[in-house]
Amino acid sequence: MRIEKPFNRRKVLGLTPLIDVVFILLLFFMLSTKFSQQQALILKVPDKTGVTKSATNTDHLSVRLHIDGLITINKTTTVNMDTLLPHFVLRRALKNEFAVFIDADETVALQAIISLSDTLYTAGFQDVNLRALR
Amino acid sequence: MKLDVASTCKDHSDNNLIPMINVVFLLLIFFMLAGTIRASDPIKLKPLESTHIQSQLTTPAILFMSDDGSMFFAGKAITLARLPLVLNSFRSDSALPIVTQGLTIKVDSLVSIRDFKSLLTRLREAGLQQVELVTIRAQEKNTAPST
Repeated sequence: MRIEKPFNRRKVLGLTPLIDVVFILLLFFMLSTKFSQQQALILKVPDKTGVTKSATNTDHLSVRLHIDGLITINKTTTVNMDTLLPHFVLRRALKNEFAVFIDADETVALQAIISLSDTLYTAGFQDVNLRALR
Repeated sequence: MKLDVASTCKDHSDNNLIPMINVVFLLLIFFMLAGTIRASDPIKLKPLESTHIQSQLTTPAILFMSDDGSMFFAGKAITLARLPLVLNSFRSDSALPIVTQGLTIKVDSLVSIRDFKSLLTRLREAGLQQVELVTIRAQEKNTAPST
């Protein structure tokens, strides 16, 4: 009896399953990837008594943000947003105030406080805190 | 001269897909390298924007607070009054490295300072001395506060 050898045909792998898998991976990464880089802003939790341990009453700057956008500094000087940064830079250069305490009207959004603290950091202040809780 | 184009294409029908596969692979590599994969927030938030970077996020436990005051922690909705209790029980029960010194909080940018101070009061009652506030990078021109 004559047995025929199977014909040795070389199979070509199809690309379709590969494309399916790659598309699924691509969809997964497109839907789950986030491009916004989150960062942390360290905030000391203020207590009921007032200033933190790093500053005394005599050498700190008190800043209050009002709902109309005006900013009162040490209850005496009022500045608006346009003159805020130059004022802080000048104050930083003239006086040795190294700690800043921010307070605001109750309805002011937190983003405004963060932006104000950004301005203070830009002006050179290093110790920026939120005013004591009541 | 007559070219037998039809039979050639039939034999290698996948060949014309190769440029598309190349593009898809490039897209895949881009998304894998350029972005980060992290869990979605349990509530829709508009994150705070800041130009000042102090550190990268360190604590994995994040407390979420939306602009209407609702809060989520460890996948559950919690109230402000129960926050110290939840934090203390979480700290004692969980294996997550929530430290006594700090906690990461992600707050909506429209949260009022009154609500935020109420939150800080409760955190102080829970024994926390500082928090990490989650922010995203803002443009340098937006440094002036807008109420």
